[in-house]
Parts: sequence; structure tokens; C-alpha cells
Amino acid sequence: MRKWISLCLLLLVGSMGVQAQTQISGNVIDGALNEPLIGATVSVPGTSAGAITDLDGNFSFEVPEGKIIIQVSMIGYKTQVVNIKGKSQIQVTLMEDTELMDEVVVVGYGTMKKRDLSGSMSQIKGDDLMAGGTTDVAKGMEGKIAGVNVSQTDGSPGAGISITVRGSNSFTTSSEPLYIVDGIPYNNDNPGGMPSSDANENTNQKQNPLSFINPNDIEKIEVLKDASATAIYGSRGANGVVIITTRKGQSEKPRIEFNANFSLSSVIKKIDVLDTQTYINYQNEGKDNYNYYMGGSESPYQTRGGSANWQDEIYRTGWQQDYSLSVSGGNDKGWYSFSGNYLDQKGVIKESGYTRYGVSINIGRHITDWLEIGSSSHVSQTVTNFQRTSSSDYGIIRSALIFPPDINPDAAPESDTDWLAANPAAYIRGARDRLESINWFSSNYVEIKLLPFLKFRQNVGLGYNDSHRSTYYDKYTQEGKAPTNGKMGKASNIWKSYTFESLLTFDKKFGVHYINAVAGLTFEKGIWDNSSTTATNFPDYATVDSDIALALDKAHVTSDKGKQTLESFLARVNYTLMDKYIFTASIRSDGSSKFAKGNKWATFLSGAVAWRISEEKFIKDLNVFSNLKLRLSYGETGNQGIGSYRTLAVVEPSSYVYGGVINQGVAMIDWRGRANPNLKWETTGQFNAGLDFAFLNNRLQFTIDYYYKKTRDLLQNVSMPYSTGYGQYLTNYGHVTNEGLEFTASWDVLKNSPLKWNIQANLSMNKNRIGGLDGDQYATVNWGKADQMFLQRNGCPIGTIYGYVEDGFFNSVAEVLAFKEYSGLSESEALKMVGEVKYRDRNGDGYIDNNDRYIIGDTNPDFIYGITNSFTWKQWGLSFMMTGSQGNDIFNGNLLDMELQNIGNVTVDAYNGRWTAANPTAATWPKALSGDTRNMLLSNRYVENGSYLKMKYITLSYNWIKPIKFIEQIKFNFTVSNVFTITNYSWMDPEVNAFGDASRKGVDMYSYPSSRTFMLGLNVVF
Amino acid sequence: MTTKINKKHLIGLSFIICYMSFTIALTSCNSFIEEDTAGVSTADQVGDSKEACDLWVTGVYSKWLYDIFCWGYFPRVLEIDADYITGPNWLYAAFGSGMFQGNGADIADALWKGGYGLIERANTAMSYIEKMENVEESYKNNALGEMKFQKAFAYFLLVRAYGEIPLLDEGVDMTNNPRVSVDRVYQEIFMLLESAVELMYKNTDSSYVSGHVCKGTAAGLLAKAYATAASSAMSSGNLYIRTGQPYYYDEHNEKQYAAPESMPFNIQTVSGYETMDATALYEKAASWAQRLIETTEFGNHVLVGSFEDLWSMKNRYASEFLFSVYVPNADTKYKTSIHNLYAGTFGNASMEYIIDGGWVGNTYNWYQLFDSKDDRIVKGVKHRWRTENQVKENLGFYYPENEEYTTKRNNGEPPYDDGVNYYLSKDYQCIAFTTKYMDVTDPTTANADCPWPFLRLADIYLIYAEALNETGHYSKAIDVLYEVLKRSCTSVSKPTTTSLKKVFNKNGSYSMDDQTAVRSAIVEERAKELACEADRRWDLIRYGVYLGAMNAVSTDDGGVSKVRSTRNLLFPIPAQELNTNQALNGQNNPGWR
Repeated sequence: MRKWISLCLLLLVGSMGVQAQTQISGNVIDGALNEPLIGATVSVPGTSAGAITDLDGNFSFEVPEGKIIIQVSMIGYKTQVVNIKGKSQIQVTLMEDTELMDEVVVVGYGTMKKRDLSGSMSQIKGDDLMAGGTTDVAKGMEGKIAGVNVSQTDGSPGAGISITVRGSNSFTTSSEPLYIVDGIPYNNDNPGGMPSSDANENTNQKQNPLSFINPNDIEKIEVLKDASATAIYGSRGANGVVIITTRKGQSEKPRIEFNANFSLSSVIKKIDVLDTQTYINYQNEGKDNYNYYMGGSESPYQTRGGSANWQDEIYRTGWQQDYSLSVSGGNDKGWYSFSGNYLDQKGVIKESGYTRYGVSINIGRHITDWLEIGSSSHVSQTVTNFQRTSSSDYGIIRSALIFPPDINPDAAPESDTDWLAANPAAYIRGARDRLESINWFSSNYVEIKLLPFLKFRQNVGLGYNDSHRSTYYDKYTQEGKAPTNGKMGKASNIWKSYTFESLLTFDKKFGVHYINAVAGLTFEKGIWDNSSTTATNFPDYATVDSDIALALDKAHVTSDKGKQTLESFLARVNYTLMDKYIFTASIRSDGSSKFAKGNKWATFLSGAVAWRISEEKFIKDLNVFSNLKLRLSYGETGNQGIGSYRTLAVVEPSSYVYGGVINQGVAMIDWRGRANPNLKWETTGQFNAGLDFAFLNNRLQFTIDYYYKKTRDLLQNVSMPYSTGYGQYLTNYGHVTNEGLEFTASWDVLKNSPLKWNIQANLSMNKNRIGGLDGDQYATVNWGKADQMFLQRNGCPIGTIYGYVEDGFFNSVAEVLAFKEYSGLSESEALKMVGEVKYRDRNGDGYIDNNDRYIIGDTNPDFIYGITNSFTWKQWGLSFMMTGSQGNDIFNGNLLDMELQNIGNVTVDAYNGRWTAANPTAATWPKALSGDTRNMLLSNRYVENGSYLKMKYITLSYNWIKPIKFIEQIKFNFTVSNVFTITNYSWMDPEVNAFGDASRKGVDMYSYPSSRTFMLGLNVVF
Repeated sequence: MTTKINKKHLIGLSFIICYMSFTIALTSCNSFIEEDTAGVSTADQVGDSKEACDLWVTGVYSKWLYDIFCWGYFPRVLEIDADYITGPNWLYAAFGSGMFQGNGADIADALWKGGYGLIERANTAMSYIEKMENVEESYKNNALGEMKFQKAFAYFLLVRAYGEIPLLDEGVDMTNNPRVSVDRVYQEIFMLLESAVELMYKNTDSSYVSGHVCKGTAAGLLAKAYATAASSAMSSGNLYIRTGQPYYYDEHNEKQYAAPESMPFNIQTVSGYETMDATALYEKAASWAQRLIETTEFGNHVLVGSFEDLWSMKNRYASEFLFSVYVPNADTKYKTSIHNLYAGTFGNASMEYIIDGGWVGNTYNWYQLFDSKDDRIVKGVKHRWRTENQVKENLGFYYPENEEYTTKRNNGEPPYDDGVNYYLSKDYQCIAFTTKYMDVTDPTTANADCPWPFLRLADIYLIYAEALNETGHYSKAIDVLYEVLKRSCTSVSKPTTTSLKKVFNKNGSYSMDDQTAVRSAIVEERAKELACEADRRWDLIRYGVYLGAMNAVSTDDGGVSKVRSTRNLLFPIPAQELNTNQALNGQNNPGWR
């Protein structure tokens, strides 16, 4: 140590003598290749002095007096700052900046260097995706990308996921982005969707479109957000594009990786409902009130004599095991990767769960120096066992909450309660809903290098999805209660997809010009075939869903099939001038089978410019930014998200009986309305302005994007006067705008110390507005109690909740009679209204009706955000992610069943807040009342603030490098997910989306509860 | 970067260019993006043949099942807002208590949606049938006549409920379709029906297929429509109804049923019918009814011999049923809730106990209108029934709590001789449930094959009697009335104007002329004969006595409020129609918003 200090002192003293202008010369080399770097800039910051390295990487120039710092930079390399005090000859090694600038990202129909990007896109790497121990791709993306809103239907294993990029564009068509897996569109627009039979009526459960891929197999995901990036996907780019790239082998030495995760989960929050004794008191109060207020003569409540906590009867500790094994390798001749995966999840509601078996192969070979062939295939078998949740009528959670608690769990189900709900214990035993899917997806290509700068690539994609769903409700469930006597449904859905893409790619640099261009034509075809059978009336010996032939009542059989095709021509040019000015333009023409002649074809254009300001000298001279890039783009994209055959006058069988014999007939399909041959694409024009900037040698990076997009010619079902014979009409009508800001930051707070700390954060804001409608409309909710819940009005966002506003309670007969609508009532009639909710008479006409509704909520958040902190210290790692949503409302549909009448159980909150004559002023709920006469209107009572901040996970890991020979590393990690949630939302979990889609989000109706999970993971690399 | 372009490259390039051109050519030839209709059937593919004609016609009839009846709103929308009908208060909570908007809107709107849906289907079918060239003229005409009948029937249901309504013809402006006067709607109905009478087969023609409507059906509906318009146009006179509050609490605060009292109600012109000529319309009604009943001009239509036979399965297609909606047994799509609603769904084939339904029945006021020997209460009302839970405790309900049946119950006489403990509950659980809809193939399915009798010859008999009476032929009117009455009650002798006055003017406190007595008797006979056939409300409406009759009941046996105000005279136009049909200017029927 002392020696070093002496040396430093010596250098310091020695340098004092050098004051005059000096000549500096040297050599710059590429650190990786160990070769001279040509064209690197060597400069003295703050002066005009400097030089460019020659063909041998050499430079030489005069350093102005007093200057001792020089800077060596080159695009794609990390800038080096060198102290030249006392030196006249130096050698500088520049390392490639693999972290950021030269990173290759996947864009539509090709790849690009990230620095040449002009559009807005985000990337997430496999490791980041897996952080938090996710078992599916979509959940892994949650909270990690600005502008991407991932919402789960509910907490059910294998539950559906809805991904929305930059707000919902449309009322009726899907807002799901286009998924591209290894270059091939993965068709999530399978019109059959999840198979369903009549036995699944009113269930909203959906299949997660990405569940077939094991997230461990994913190398990275790119999300294309702005139109300049997505326009190359033309008619399907309007909702953003998610490009998934699966892992390839890289190292010469085979890499064998084994992962195992085990987890236990339990329900985070149960709802407090009345215990048995309080319930009996409550029922008696209801009877007393009925007799007093309604003039009834009911005798006291006859308890059923039992006692149960129904939530305890249906929940259990969930258990999950997840294994995957992969072998991969590669060299300059090609690559291979084989992997297998087994996942078994047992949900926190009994009998619910999810199982996946998957095998993936990704191989490629450079056959000759001009020919490359590659193939990736993913095969999975999944089994999802649903328990009915998020459903508007029946369901296991609904049963568990409102079923009378004075019944023993093992009591035989009684028919006098089954109108209300099924006995939850019997429901668990008697309801089965199982979805089995086989998914095969294969992406293949041949690439021919025609010229050094011209490549031809032929992609061939094949997909096959076969789903079978078996549903059975025995006679002790409401679905199957007498006289149905058990209901069984068998449904299947086959979807086959074919993709052929021929692409020519030109890639060449001419001096300061760099051109990357692609042109191609594509053909896609999808074929579906659905069938479903429903039968009822099963003998007692029928064993669940085994044999539909046991049904005594005729099976109801349906099937349909169809085909859709898409033909496209596309081209894109990316031109970079002097590494600073980037121009991109793209064009795509799509022809779709779904539209009628004359409207089949549409062309989508986009253009973008980007300016790498940090490459300008005046910025470089500031020596502040390590990256500064401005991006501007505009483009148009489409949405063809309607079913096939919608422009045709399609007839369906319509039967009738004459003389006791069923006769076949035909009729137009009522719900479709009149056929509209003039349908055309929905078009979204999007403007994007983005700024990327980074400091401290990219330790601190920011991206800000502003966008404004307008979707016009919305394809939607417009309400029609029923006097036309139809209720709706599919047409192009209205528009939606989305305007927003997205912020992304990455900060290596501690980088060069033993303790490393990285923060990744994103925040996005979106403002959605409807326009161009002639009058108000309502979203199709298909939910009797809340049919006109979602208002569609000019200037309001999609997700506006419309309803009545409450104004306390009627506390006396006089108060009732003072209200005009009731002024004519007799005293005894008016007494019935005492203790009932008073609604605000908005227009002051003395009547409460549809005109008294207000906008009472908005399910759109002001902003959503996610923050991930990662710490590493030696072999230890700790990371945690928080996500949040601010300013969104939730429609708490669960409360609709808190009627405080009939025999349904209620929450402790509702009971404590019930109106009583003794304490009318503190009331938050109407009086307890037996009978079924109360009709509560859809009011602000059911709308709650859904803002939350959630600790999604905390992971602690230990990475044991080379523990023994043959083992590269063993990594242990322990993850707790759903650690805590800070929210004012009263029900189980604010992260809920019962309808599973973007246009009707923010609805909670007996959702599957989220669970807190403790997971132990093991990762071994050989 | 220094590689030169050589021959090899050029060959490769040419190959690719050829390949791409070839792909484009190939797919364009195959019209790659043409819609492949192998998966669907389009209207044009149905064809031009007798079979195609049948397909379109059946598709129109099918609308009655899917979706007019299948959701359970029919027949409730026509039935449960009347004075003699009752049931549990939850079933009657909104619509059944006069709230046709808000929570009751689903039921009320079903009539508007269903009616126009049917008309549109008929229009579509007609447009395809008219174009057919390979179908015999008479066959085609019959089909067109059936479609016209369906349209007329829908307009008839609509005009009674809504008053002025839009007409749905081809070329109508979809979003700007104004309401036309009631008179104009009736002109349309008469025109359609008169044409249908011309076009359709008689039920005696060899080509006639049972279950379809026929000449007689159209003639019957013409009589009913004319009479409906006529009675609605009447501006004076009285109608006596035996009614009143159904129960009272005695000195022990126990609920006791009251006997109905005869009360006079002023006949008033129904809004919209002011310009119509009641007498002229009644003459038309009488003429069409007479031709149907007394001639074979429209085929052969006769009353079924006995009450019991009338409602048995074997007579479903009897000529008395001019137009019924038929339904297959236990189908989950083409279904109605009639059997479930009126008879209940039974736990076993022997119909021992009910497991679901059995909600809608008549009040005790209604029951007391009958002679005690009248089959329509002796056989037409359930006197005992049990629910699943009662079976476990050996219990059952009996009905009614009058001397006759209470004695039988007490003495264990038939039908109470099976050892079951029968009791009665003075609420919605024990009302006069009809047996009309009991006889089905499988009483244990919720989707039993029980037809709905929309138009029945007995109805036309009573329309005939009414028209005769209003045109001055009282005595002939009584003869015709008696034809209906005597079928179910052989022991009663033919009424006279004197005997009728005794019924309606017991104490002699009113001055009552013969015509009024006969009129009251006919309307009462309709209530008895057509009970639970969704007719009663419309009789009260067309005479303009609905409000009086409903408010006289106040609260019925089931605890359902019958208090009504003027807005209840017309149904509200559905909100969506008001929002989207610009011609309506947001103007709903009076009292509705």
C-alpha cells in the first residue's frame, strides 16, 4: 500500500512541470475483438481540439494548454474519459456498449439495432419476466412496462388475462394486442374462443391466450406501442403488438438448466359476514320490520338449527409445483434448445386448479454460408379446473357469502334455500368445469442470403389448438337444481392457423447512409370448428361429467365452423444518416375475407423521424448526456376484430312444432341485426413523441413518450329502434381518442460497489374519450341487475359508470309523503318506504326515474405504475416490485346481493349500518326486511375507489456459483407474492376485471380471491 | 462488404422473384380473401322450392318460441296486470304492481321487442317467398297469408298495449319511423287479415297442415279486432264487475276472504279511438264472427265438447284452437314457461308434488263468480297440491276455504282421502290455480310441451255475443253466450236478462237496462272462460274500466298491489326505442319518461 502512495505522489510532483501545449498520440482498439477501431472520436471536452482515428486506429493531435482530460467515443461503444497528464502516448480500449446502444431488438418482420429505432417500444428480458416467480407470460409482464395494462379476470388458477396497450380503442372489438411468437402471429382472435355449452351460461371465465408458453422458455418480449412500430402489422396493429422471442442455445458447451418451484398460497382476505347467532337476530328483525312496516303477519324466524362458516368450507391452502428442464447450446453452425415443463397448481378454492405439460424445441442451422434454417415448436397440454367465479348469477363465492349460516355443512341440501344460492359445500362437491387444451404452435423459416446485403426469408407458421370443456352441475347446485336435475355440457373448439410470409430484407451502409428495408407478402388463414352439447336431467348414479348419454332430457347440440383469411403486402424502410438522423416509413395493404367486396382492402401508412441529439457535438460538449434521442412518429393501424360472415345475411335454423312434429325453419340471426355490407376497418391514427435520455454513462436512463391516438369508424353494435325488428346493428360509428404520457426510468443507484442497487420504474397515464356518437349508448353487459351500467357518451371515457346517487333514507312517513312521487300514498303505504333508500331527484320533477342518473364512476385510472428494486450483494439478491393504480373506480357488484331482505346472509358492515328506527341517522344500509319487495337501484353505493398500491412480490435469492464440479450454479430463491395491498376498496382485491375485457373493466362480481403465495425456488445450471 | 455480385446471386434472386410472383398469382386465382361460406348458410342459399317456402314460414312461427316466449316474459306481460290474477309478490314486484319501467321494463319491453321482431321476420320471409317461381300459386299464397296473419296479430297486440305505434314496412327509415294513429294501425290490421282470409287454406282443405293458422283464424281475429276497436270507441254506458277488496281482518285480526260485490264502472272511450264508430265496427265484428261460427265459408270450426276434453293433450289441435303457439317437449331452446308458471313442474311423472313454479293463479273473487257445479272450477281449478317439502311432512294444500271443500277436507272425503294432512294458507301460496296447462307429455321438465292458446273459438263466440248485444240483439247474444257456458256447466239453465240483472243488481239498487246486464254477463263470462289466457287485462282496457276495476281490488290475495294510475293505461315505449327512433322526439306515453 505504501508503495502505491509513493508512486502517486511521484506522479503528482512530476506532472507539475508539464504546463505547455503538448502533442498526444495513441491508438484506440475494440476491447472485444482486440482490433483497431476506425473512426473513433478523440476530443478534448470544452475545446475544438480532437481527431478521428485512422484505418489503424491511430490518432494524434495537439492538446491545448492546461487540458489533461480527453474523451474517446464511438457510436455503439462506451465513451472513455482518459487523464493524459504527463503522457504523450496512450492506448485506449473501447468496450461495446452492449447494455443499451447496440442492443438488437425485434421489430415487425425483422430486427433492428435499438439505437436506430424511431418508434416507441419496450422490452422485457426473460429474467425480468420471471422475477416474482410467475408461471405465465402475461402476469410476468404486469407492472413492468409503461403503457401496458395487464389485468387479470380474478385470482383463479389459469385465469384469463387482458392486456391493453395505451388504453382501449374500441367498445366492441377486442382490445387485446397482436401476439407474435418467434415471428409468426399467434392467433388469439380465434372466433370460437373458449369452448362453451349452455351449461356455462353467464360465466365470464376465459382462457389465458398465452398460457401455453412456459415463461422460462422466453428470451425476451418486445412490446410495440406506437403506430410507426405497429403499422407494419396493418389491420391488426391498432392495439399494439407483443413480440415474444423464445430462447435459443448460445454457448458451445451445453447448458443444462433445471428449475423447481414450490409454493403454498392462502386467501388474503375473507369477507366478514354474519355469524349464525347474529344472522338469526337479523332475520328476526327483518320479520318484525315486515310486520310493522309492511303490515305483514310473519311469525318469528325458524332457525334451521345448524351452524357453518361457509368461507371456511370452500377455501383451502393452495399448493403449486412447477418444474422445468432445458438443454441448450450453440455455435457458429447453429443452435438448439430443448425444454420441458410441468406445472401443477391447486387453487385456494377447493377443486380448482391448473396443470400444464409443455415441451419446446428451438433449433436452427447454418447449412451453408448463405442458407439458414430454423424452427421452433411449442406443444402444451393444459387442464384448467374452474370453480364458478366472476359470474353474474350463480357461483361458489356468492354461495359462500350469502348462504344462510344456520345450516350444517354436511346437511342435505334443501329445496327451500336453493332459489337463493346453492349450499356451498354441496356446490364444491357437485360442480365441475374442466377445460382441457392441446396447443401446438410452430414457427419455421428458411433464410437465404442472396447478396451480402439482401436476404430472402420464408416463414411458415402452423398452429393448432384443440380445447375441450366438460361441465357438470349436479342437482344440488342452482344451475342443475330440480327440475333440471343435473346439467352437463360438452364443448369443443378446434382452431387451426396457417401463416406464410415471404420477406426480402435489404441492409447496407453506404458511407454515412445506412438503409434497412424490408418488403414482403403474407398469407394467413384460420379455420375453426366448434361444437357443443348440453343435456339435462341425470339419474342420481350419474358420476359427474362422465357420460352424457345418461341424460333423460334431450341433448341440445350446436356446431359451427368457418374460415378467415388475410392477404397482405408490406414494406418498410429505415434510413439512418450519419448515425444521427433516423427516418422510418412503412406501408401495409391488408385484404381480409371478413369484409364485403369493395371494403376488403385497406392500406396503412406510417412515418417516423428520430434525432440522436447526443451525437451532436454541442451536446457531447456538455458532457451531461450519455444518450439523448428525440422520436416523432405518426401512423395508421386498423382493427378487423369482428367475426367472419358479418357482412352476409346469414340464416340460422329456427324450429317450430306443427301437429306435434318439430319442423326445421330458417330465419335471420336476430342478435346480428340487418346485415351490413358496408362494414370496413376500424382505423387508428396515432401520433407519438418520445424522448430517450441517459446520464452517467447510462447508469440513469429515462424514456418519456407522449401519444395521441384516435380510432375512427369504430366497429360496433349500435342500438337500433326495436321497431325495426332488431335491437342492434353492426356498423362503423363513432370514435375514441386516447391520449397519454408514459415514463420509464432505470437507475443503477449503486453500480461499482459490492452492493448493487437497481431501480426500474414506470408510470403511465391515459385519458380516454368517446366521440362522434349521436346519442348515449350503453355497453352490452348482459347482466340483468346492471344492464345499463356502462355509459357511452361523447366526451366520457369507455368505462364510465352511470347510475343514481343516494340521498340518505326516508326516516319518517312525513318525509315519504313530502316526496312528490309518493305524495298520493296512504299512510300505511308510505310507512313501507320508511327506512328505505332515498335517491337524489336530479331533475327535480319529484319522480325517480332514468333521467335522474348521474355519472357516478370511471373505471379508468389516472395513472398506473410499477417500481422494481433489485439489490445484489455478493451471492445474495433481493428484489421487490410494487405496482399501483390511482384514481380508478370499481363497480362492486358483490354488494348487489346485500339486499338486507330475504334469507340471504349479509356482511357485518351492512348489518351494522342498517337503518333502524332507533338510530336512523347513522344508517348506511336500508332496514332489515323479510320478503322480497325491495328494489335497490344501481347507485353510487356500488361504486368504490379502486386505487391501490400493492407489494407484488419480494424475492430473496442466493446464487451459489460452482458449488461442485459439473454444476455451474445453484440458485435458491424465496418469494412472497401479494405481500400487502394498500387500498380503500372494501372487497377482496382491487385487481379485478370480471368481464375479462378492456371495455367493461373494473367490475367485481364474486371474483376468485387473490392469494398470498410463499414460494421456494431452485435453479440449477450444469 | 467487398463481395461482388456474381452469377450465383443473380440466379438466386431470379428464383426468389419467380417464387414471389408465383405465390401472388396462385392466391389471386383462388380468390384467397373471398369469404368462404361453407361454414354458414345465407338467405340466398335457402332456395326456391316448396321446402324453401316452408323453411321461411316455420322460421316466422319459431320466433314465438325463440325468443318471444323462451325468456319467460310471455305470457306474463299480457297476463299479470289484471284484477283477477294473482301470485307471489316477488313475481309481481315491479311489472305486476304497475311499474312498467325500471325493474319491470324487461317484461313490458318484451311485447314491443317481440311484436316487431315477429313483424320483421314475417316481412323478410314474405320478401323471399314472393320472389319464388317454383312454388305453386296456392301454396305460395297460403304462406303469404300466414305471414300476413302473424303481422296482423303482432300489430294487434302492440296497438292494444301502446296505442299509436310505428308501422314496419319495407323501405321504412330505420331511425326515423313515426307513430301512426290507432285508426291507421287498425286499418293495417284489417287489411292484412282480410287479405290473409283470402290467401290462406281452410282447415278442411287437403293441403292444410294442422298447427298452422288458416282462414278461420284470420276471420276470428278480424272479429276480435273489430270488437276491440268498437268497445274502445264506446263513450257511454256501464259495465258491472263483481269485484272488491278480497279480504279483511276480523276481530281476531285474522285474514278473512270477502265476497265480491257487483260494482258499476263507466265505459269510457280509450284514448286514440275517439274518431272510430263503435256501432259500425261492432257490425263488422258480428259479421265476421257469424260467418266463422255459423257457416263453413272458412272451414269447419267447432267448440270442443267438454271442458275436460278441451284441455287434454289429445285436443291440442282441435279446431276450437284457432291460433295456439305450440312447443316441443323438453327442448332447451324452443321453450315456454307456461306449464311451469301455471301448473308447476312436478317432481315425478305421477304429479305427486311440485318442485318448482306454480306461481300464477286466480283470486278468490274470481273463484266466487262461478256456479259451484261449473267444471271450470270443479275441474278447472286445483283443489289440492303439494310441494316437495310438504311431502316429507305428509302435508299438502287444499283450496278453497269454502264450506264445500273445507268439509271435504275435514271429513277426509275425495280428493282428500289419501291420508295427507291438507291445510290452507291465506296468501299467494293458496290461490285458484288453473288446470288448463296440466296435461303435458312430461310434467317433470321445466320445458314442458304446453301450447299457449292465443285465439280460441270460445273467445270468438263471446265476441259474437258481445257484438250482437251491442248492435241490439240481446236475446241472440244470450243464446251465443250460453253455448260457451253450458259446455262447462250443464246443470245451469240459459240465463235471461232478468236472471242476469239479479246477478249484477242483487239489491236492485241500480237502474240497469238489459243491454248492460248482458254486456256485464258477457265480460264476466270472458273472465271465467278465458281465465289464465291473458285476456282479462285487455277487456278492462278496451272498455275503459281498467283503472276502476284495478283500484277496486287495491291489494289482492297474494299481497300484490293493484293500485293503478292513468299512466298504466298504456305501456311505456322501451327506452331504447325512445333514444334511437328520432321520430318519437323522446316523447313517451303519458306518465312514462
